[in-house]
Amino acid sequence: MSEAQRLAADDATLARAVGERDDRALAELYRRHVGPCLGLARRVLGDRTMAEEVVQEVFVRTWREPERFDPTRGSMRAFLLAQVHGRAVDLLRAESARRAREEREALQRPGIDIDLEREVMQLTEAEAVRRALATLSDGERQAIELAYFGGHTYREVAVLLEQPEGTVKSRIRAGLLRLRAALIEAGVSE
Amino acid sequence: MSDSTSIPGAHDLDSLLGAYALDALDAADRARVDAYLREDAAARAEVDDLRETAASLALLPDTPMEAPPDLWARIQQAIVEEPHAGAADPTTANDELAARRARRARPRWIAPAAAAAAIAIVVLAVQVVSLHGQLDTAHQLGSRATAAAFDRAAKTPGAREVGLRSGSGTTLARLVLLPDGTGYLRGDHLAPLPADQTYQLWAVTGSAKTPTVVSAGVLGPDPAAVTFSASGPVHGFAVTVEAAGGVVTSHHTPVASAQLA
Repeated sequence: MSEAQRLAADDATLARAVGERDDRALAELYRRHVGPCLGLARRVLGDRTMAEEVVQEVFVRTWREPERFDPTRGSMRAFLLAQVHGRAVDLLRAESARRAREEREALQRPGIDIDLEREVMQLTEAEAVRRALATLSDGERQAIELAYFGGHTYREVAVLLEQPEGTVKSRIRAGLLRLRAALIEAGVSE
Repeated sequence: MSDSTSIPGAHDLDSLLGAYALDALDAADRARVDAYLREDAAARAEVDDLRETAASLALLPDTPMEAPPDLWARIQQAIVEEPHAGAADPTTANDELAARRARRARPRWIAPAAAAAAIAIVVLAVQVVSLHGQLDTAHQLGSRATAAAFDRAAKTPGAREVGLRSGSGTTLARLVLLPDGTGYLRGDHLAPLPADQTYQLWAVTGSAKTPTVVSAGVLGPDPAAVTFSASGPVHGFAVTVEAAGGVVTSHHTPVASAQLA
């Protein structure tokens, strides 16, 4: 695959090229998705070094087992972010990491040096996500944020919010389904 | 949603799918849901959809981060060391870094075709130059006159008004776009810049999934109120900080952005 083809290729095509051991296809996937992956890992873990390790592990695993990505089941971005989130949460649940995060002050957000269109696309989507989140009840939003960004289990969220576990469980699912509907309506999800 | 009669406890397991998609289950619950997902295609589809939604959450402001330059080199090193990665050339790490730097210096919308690239640069350059002219006119009118024009424009039938917001959600500027493409911007909350920098306005055209960004004006270091012109279907705007005089293509994170309804 030439560089021009790589730049124009969709993610599923790049994933197939990764399956054929094209490391530059992996490099293009990295270029497209590393920002949100690293940002999510850092937000969950509160530690830049650990976040980089998680992202490295996820991209290396994608190289090693490219067949784990099934384009009929969702986007490459969702696949990578789900891997990153799962791994970050696993690490966080090791008590030492959580304690370290609590002791650490939030790092200042660094600048981003990626192309403006991708940046705008992400800001556009972020704006749609923010609007969609605003349609949720406070309870749904808090439960989702504590679970996703806080890395808490729903049972821990129930304790934190002083709500019954069943309520929190239902709010997470109902809130996510509602978010999804709102994002589809806003044209940023399908 | 799955058929709750097919598997004992399926309804209970369905209720855990949201928490599962967010990795918010403890190990025992996760194992139960894993087993359920192996049997139930509808539940699998719901989890896939909810993970897609979770991925959108990761784009909320303050989340994306710049990768350090050596992270890709470390990944490259790791995959080169993979036993079945025979195709990878040990020298490609440096080549790839160089290629990445080259790509970074070039906006995506001019990447695919050299001819299109040349045209895009000429068009953007003309646009930037002509916008200097328009801004001079705006300044001659005076920012007070432009502010009054902004208020009049906002009341014009068909006018679209929107707030440009920072990543944290603060409205930094307001903008009105008339159906003929004439636009007015009030930057009341844009902090004044040093004299060697300027704010620059970008119009977002194309689709939401594959946007194209074109310069809509160099706004100056302290744009209280300015006019600009945007042609074609525009569905959003972004403001960046650039070196004085503006740039044809930006590589900076927008300080504020907005979607038109």
